Amino acid sequence: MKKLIMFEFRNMWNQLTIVSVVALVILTTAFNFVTFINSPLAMASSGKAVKGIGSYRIVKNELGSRKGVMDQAYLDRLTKEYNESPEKAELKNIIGHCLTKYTFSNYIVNFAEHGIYFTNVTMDLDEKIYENELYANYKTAMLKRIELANRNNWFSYTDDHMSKLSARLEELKTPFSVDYYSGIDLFKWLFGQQLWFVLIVIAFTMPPLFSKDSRNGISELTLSSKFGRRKNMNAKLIVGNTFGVGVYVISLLTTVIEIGAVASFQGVNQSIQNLWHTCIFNMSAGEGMLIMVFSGLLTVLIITNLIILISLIIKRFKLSTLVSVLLMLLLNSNLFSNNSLLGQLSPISLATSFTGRMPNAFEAFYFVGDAVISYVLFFPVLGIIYLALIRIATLRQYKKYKLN
Amino acid sequence: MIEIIKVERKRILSNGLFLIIIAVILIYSLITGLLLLKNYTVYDQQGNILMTAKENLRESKKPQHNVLLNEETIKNVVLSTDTSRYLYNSNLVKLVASNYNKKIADLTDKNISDFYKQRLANVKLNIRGYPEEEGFKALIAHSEQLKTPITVGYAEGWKSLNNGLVDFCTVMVFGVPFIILFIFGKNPKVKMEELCASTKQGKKPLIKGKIATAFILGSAIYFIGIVIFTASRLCILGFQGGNLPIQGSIFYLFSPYNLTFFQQYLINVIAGFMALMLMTSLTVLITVLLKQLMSSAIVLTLFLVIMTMLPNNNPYLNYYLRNFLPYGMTNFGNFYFRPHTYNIFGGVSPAFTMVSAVALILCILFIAVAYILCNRNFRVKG
Repeated sequence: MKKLIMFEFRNMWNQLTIVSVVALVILTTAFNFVTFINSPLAMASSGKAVKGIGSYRIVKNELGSRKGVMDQAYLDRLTKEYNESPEKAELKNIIGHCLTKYTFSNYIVNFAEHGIYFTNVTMDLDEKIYENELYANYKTAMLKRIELANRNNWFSYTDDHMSKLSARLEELKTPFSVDYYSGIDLFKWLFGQQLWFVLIVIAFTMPPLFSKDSRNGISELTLSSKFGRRKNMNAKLIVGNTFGVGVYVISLLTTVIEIGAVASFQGVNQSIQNLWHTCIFNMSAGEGMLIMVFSGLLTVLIITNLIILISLIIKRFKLSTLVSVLLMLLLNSNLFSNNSLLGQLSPISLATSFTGRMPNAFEAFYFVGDAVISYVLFFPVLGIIYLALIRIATLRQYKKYKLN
Repeated sequence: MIEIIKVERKRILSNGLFLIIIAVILIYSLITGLLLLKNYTVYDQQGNILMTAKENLRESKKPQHNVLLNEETIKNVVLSTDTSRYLYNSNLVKLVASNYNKKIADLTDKNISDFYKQRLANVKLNIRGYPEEEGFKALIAHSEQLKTPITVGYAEGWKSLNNGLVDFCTVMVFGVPFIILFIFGKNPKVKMEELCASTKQGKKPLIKGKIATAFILGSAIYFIGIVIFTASRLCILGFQGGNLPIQGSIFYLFSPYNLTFFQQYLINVIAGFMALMLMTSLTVLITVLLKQLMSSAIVLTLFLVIMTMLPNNNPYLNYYLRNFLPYGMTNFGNFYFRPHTYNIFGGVSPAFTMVSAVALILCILFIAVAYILCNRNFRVKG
């Protein structure tokens, strides 16, 4: 069996797959590069505005004592420092979002105070902030925000639901720890974008493996081989899935290395609430990133196997490729992004709803009896069900595979 | 060479496929045109139909509603002499209202007589940070040359045609390259290279023929599609109004360029054509480099996807990059409202000239490179 897998794997590397992977890396890099040079305005400690790729590191290096746990002592120090800082004075002259070393701490405070009216240009702090008040207001703001996001959801949360959520919020560990997070923020955004490139590459490279008219596809030989259909199919499936996951890892590594070089991933230990204001879990930002990565992995596996099933049914690789690409376009279309029920059922949903979606992955809940189930926990179960269904269909299809 | 072109054409785009494409374009044009008609139905406050689209358009097409936008007309608008909700009246009212910051009823006589001066002030406000001084001055100079008072009249056919061309040309620019892929892209199972290299005509005419086919096919599909789209849109919404100035449309009142709707249409068609030629030559280059069909297809797909995902909120990026990409070139509204200009060779060039010229140069460059590479490819390795 191992020899069979190695044989299929060697056959997998033809011009199409090599060109796809190289094109993926080049285009992902180009896209990341454009995102980096499109970076927001930043301001150094002196109040001087800086722009461009280097601005992230300048802000990071000056972070100093803004990194820490937001308890009363921290808050007192923060308000005093911020209200006397040159940045505060200069920010009045700037229209729009500007990154300073106070951004990370001030956003938490302002989210608590302004709630759903919080924007990314609100930076001002009161003269005195009380820790208890701050976190109580923060929890109220979270609930209001979740309620607002719920308007886009396919079912409305009742008061009962909201009170269950509120009870869950009592377990939220405060005070929060805060740190620089621009790198993780960039990752949040770029992750969702580069996932589409990965899926398109998979849509092009999977069909030849299972069609009857491509060089490394299925032929009379494979169907009547010594190892039998089943072993042969399993070998191809293993190779197909490995390749899909490999493409995902390559794209992810490219993005991670580039973000790490430009903006650095400092801040993986801070509270997740800095990045996802409405997350009710006690996690660190790094753990949030890991959840994103694994959700992407699950998505890639589902889509890979789905495309394999499509190409087993259609058997012609050009037509399978066309159908797979159209399927990707359909999943990306307004049909799934505007309708929240379809959106939450779509296999791509979790990985692309960490940012830019309302409700986002941490804001969607299901209520069964007394339990509050977050969408992040629900989707893996759904994903495994999808995988099981696709596997059953694939097995049936391969048994019936006819060459004419 | 003509024979080569004919054969290649038959190989790539059989008559059946061609008819299917034409049919799809026709159905798309008709459906979008007919759906547009719904926008002209006027409802009253309870939601009942006050007048149907047909009545609305029939009344608005009458020649007595083609008016000069002079002091008398504006005064009539301010005094609400005509309170009908027909299209010609609502267009006029919106046009006058968009020029001022206050309510129409509050306009003084001085405001009315200064309508065109106010327009020039608004044009100045609407010119972006780019261009630099020379561009700014050139645009102001253009806008001052507008022959006032302008004629405002029925031109719905041309207005909706120009708006609809944005989506139509984008789909063309994205779709046609996939047909062009098949000319140079080879199926790896079929080894035709030796045969092609030893043909009666020799390889040079063959390559030239293939490149010519790519452009002829692309242009033919584009222009036939444009004709069908234009004809259906104008038949549904009316042919008149092509010679009216674009400033009569509320989107382009502050456009510094003094064009008629017909001239705007021609510029759009040409810009779309240049975008398509650029994509065609890029496709030919990719297929010549990679030689195989599916590899070229994936590079083309990734390129198209990235083009649509580029952020458009960065002015530098828009000015230097996005305007020149085919996806930006087909965004025709940007040529007329808040246009960019480019300082080149000591003069100021409007965006549509510059991007078309750059597209042409790049197209020739890609084809030259593709031609040289293709000649080398056909050398059969011993």
